[in-house]
Formats: sequence, structure tokens, C-alpha cells
Amino acid sequence: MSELTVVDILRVLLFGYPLSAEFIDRSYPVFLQASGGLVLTLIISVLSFSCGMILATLFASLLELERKPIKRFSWIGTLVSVLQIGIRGILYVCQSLPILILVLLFYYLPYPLFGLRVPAVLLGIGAFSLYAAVYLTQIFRSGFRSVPQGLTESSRILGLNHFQIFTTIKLPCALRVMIPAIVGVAITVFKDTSVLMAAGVAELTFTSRQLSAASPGHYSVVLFLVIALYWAIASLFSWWARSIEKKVTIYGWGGSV
Amino acid sequence: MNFSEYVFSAPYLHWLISGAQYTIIIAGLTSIVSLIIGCLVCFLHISKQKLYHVCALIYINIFRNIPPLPFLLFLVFGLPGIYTLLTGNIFPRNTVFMLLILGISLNTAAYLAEIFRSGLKGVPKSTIDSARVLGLKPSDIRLHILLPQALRISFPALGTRLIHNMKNASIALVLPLDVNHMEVMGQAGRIAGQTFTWAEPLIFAASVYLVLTMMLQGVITFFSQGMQKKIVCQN
Repeated sequence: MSELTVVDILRVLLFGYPLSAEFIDRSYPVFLQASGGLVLTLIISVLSFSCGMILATLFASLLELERKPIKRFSWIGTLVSVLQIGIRGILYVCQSLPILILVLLFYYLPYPLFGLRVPAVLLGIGAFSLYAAVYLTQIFRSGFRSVPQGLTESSRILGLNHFQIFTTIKLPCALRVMIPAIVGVAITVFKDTSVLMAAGVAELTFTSRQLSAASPGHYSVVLFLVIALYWAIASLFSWWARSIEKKVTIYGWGGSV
Repeated sequence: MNFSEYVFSAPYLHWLISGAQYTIIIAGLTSIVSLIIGCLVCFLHISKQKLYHVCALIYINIFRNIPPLPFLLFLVFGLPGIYTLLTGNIFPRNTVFMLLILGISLNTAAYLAEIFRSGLKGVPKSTIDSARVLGLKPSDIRLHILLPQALRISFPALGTRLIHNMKNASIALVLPLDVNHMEVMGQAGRIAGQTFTWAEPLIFAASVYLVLTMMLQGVITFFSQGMQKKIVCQN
């Protein structure tokens, strides 16, 4: 066994171990299999945060849907209320479970329940999308509630239609309030991807275990570097978020969600 | 799905129940330790001494920005090597449980310090001024005026963080704890290691966490409602 230098360790931690050609599975994107380490952590966080945003938009708009306009079509009304109950249940359960258990449920349940074999990376992204969506839904709902009723009413009097009110009045006002909380969720998702180690996804923490198995003498250094990498990225991101927050907030209005 | 064989049969149910007990023990111990550390860091943060203030800022920045799992791995696997390198002695054995408690508490304490600080900041300055005018001693002001109000302000956030703290106990799955000190996820993994089935014990562990979270949430809601009532009465 050759001696590892800090540069070697850092290279493996950043990009993971290279993938040999015979293990490539053509049924899902190759870049998810070929990357590892910090790069894969970042890919998973970005992908699952974006999926979470889409899911949360869907959840929040379904939950906030008013019953009145669709009362005429009774089966649509029933469908909506059933969906709302389902979403409330999902939100409650996912908020109460630790993320490690959520990931493992996603990892171990599809096969015995449905006979599905899905790659661990995709399941991890699914679990983290749901995890992000749960928190983002609450943020979206309270963010849009914080827009004063008078603002929307007066814009309706001025002759704006629903779409215009949403894009030019409600969305900008709500975004100002929501941005700090949304960034907080993004940082949480990035930090919690370390849990995917338990499901065997080759992200940063898992790569550090692999490295330590290859050279047991370096475990302290490797783990210290891992913590330093997580810390550096998370604090860089939160510092950037704070500068955005300063630019965006209007003094004396809104506040934290 | 075969719950009767893998969950409700002779040794496994016993393992899982002892695991659930240890989840509660870990949650309780980490809450207490993190409350103590959090208070200390908060006092450092609000002290007039520049050095103490900067130390608290560094602590909060570091522990809020590193995830608990790699930090626990570092404590359990990395610390013995550093200890041997520095002192030349071998790290004491059977300390994984203590390190687990310490790691989770250090993580939670960083958040708690911020919560306490914002609670103290939320007490109106006029209240303290009027207490001083009425001739109360500084220690009395802190104990009877500042502390109760700050606690009331920060209680909801404190509760949320303590629930997070309890959920963090599940991370003990990846640590090499000995069999008697495992929490419910660890015991589920132990059953999976013997029977090659993860689904049933995992669902059991998930429901344990669900029930525990619900109970803690209920307790916190009960207490915070009581506190709200008190505020209304005083006004």
C-alpha cells in the first residue's frame, strides 16, 4: 500500500473513486454513477432541492385551493379534499420522522412492497426532495399568508387580473419574506445528505469511509477534512444568504416566517 | 411483510423495546447536556468581554454549519487517533455512548445558544429600566424579570429544537455502540443483520419515532399554552 498525501485524500474526497466501465448501468443518468464525494453531495443537494421546490409549489397550491370556485363540479371538489387530506398526512409523517429513517424507508421498502429495484442514488434524491418539500410547503404557505389582504384587494380594484396580481404583487412581496427561510432549508438539505451514507450512496461521508478502509492510518485526517469541507460550503452559503437577505428585506415589514 | 416473525417474536421485540427505551434516554441526556452547554455559550455570547463573545461566535458558527453525522464519526473514529498522537496513551474504551451524547449535545447547544440569545434580546428594554427604577438588585432583575420573560419568548423555538434533538438520536445507527446501549434504529439494524429483512423492524422503528415526536410535541404545546395564558393574565 502506497503512502497517501493530503492532496490525494482531497482529490478522492472531492471527486470520489473513479467508476470502472463494466459497472455502468445505462438505465439511469451516468453522471450520477460516475461522480462521487463532494461533487455527488452537491449534485444530490441541488437536484433534490429543485425537485422539492416543484413539489412544494404543488402541495402548497393544492392546500391553499379554495373550495368555493369548484363547488359546482362536485367530484373535483371531493378529489381536491381527498388530496388535501393525503398531503396533510404526508407533511405530518415526514416532519415527525428523522431524515435517516426517511432515507432508509425509501431505500428498503420499494422492493418488498412493490418489487421495484431502483438505484440508491435516485431513491436518495426522492427522499430528500420530499424532505425539502415538507419544509418548503410550510414556508410557502406562511409566506403567502403574510401578504396583506388590502394589497391584493386594492390591486383588484385597479383592474389587475388574478395572474397579474400573483406575479406582480403577491410573489414579490412573499419572496422577500421567504428567502431567508428557503436558504435555510437549502443548507439543511446539503448538511443532511451525509445521512445517505447509510443507504450506500457514494457521497462525501461514504467516500471518507471507503478511504479509511483503504488506509486505516489516515482516518483522523480524512474525517477532519470531511468536516472542514462541509463547514466551508455551508458557512459560505449562509454568508452569501445573509448578504442577499440584507439587500432584499425592507426595514419594518415582514420579518421571519 | 411478516411482522409476527421479525418484530413480534421472542428476542426481537425485547430488543426493539430496549432500543425505544434507549432512544428516550439518549434524547433526555442530550437535552439536559445541550441545555447546560447552550446556556453557557449564550452567557459567553452576551458578555461584555470581547474574547468571550468571539469564542461563542466561533462555537456557534462551527457547530451550526457541520452536520452531526460526520462530526459523530470524527468523535468516535478520529478522536482516538489524535488522542494517542498527542498524549501517547491509548484512548479509553467503551466511551462510544458518552461520545454520542457529547456529539449530539454539542450540535444542539449551538442552536439553543442562538435561541436563548434571541429570547433575551426580545425582552423590552423598558421593562428592565423600570425594574431598575423600582430599586431591584441586578441579580434580582436577571432572575425574576429577565429570565422568565426570555424563557416565555424562546419556548416554542426551544421545543422545536428539542424535537430535532430527539430525531438526531437515530444517527446512532452508524456508530459501533455495544448491544445493550443501542437505540431503536440500531436494534432494527441488528435484527436486519440477523434476518436479512430491513422492512419490518424499520417500520417499527419509524412508528416509535413518530409516537415519541407526537408525545413531545403534545407536551411542548401544553406548556407553551400555559405560558401564553400567564402572559394574558399578567397583562
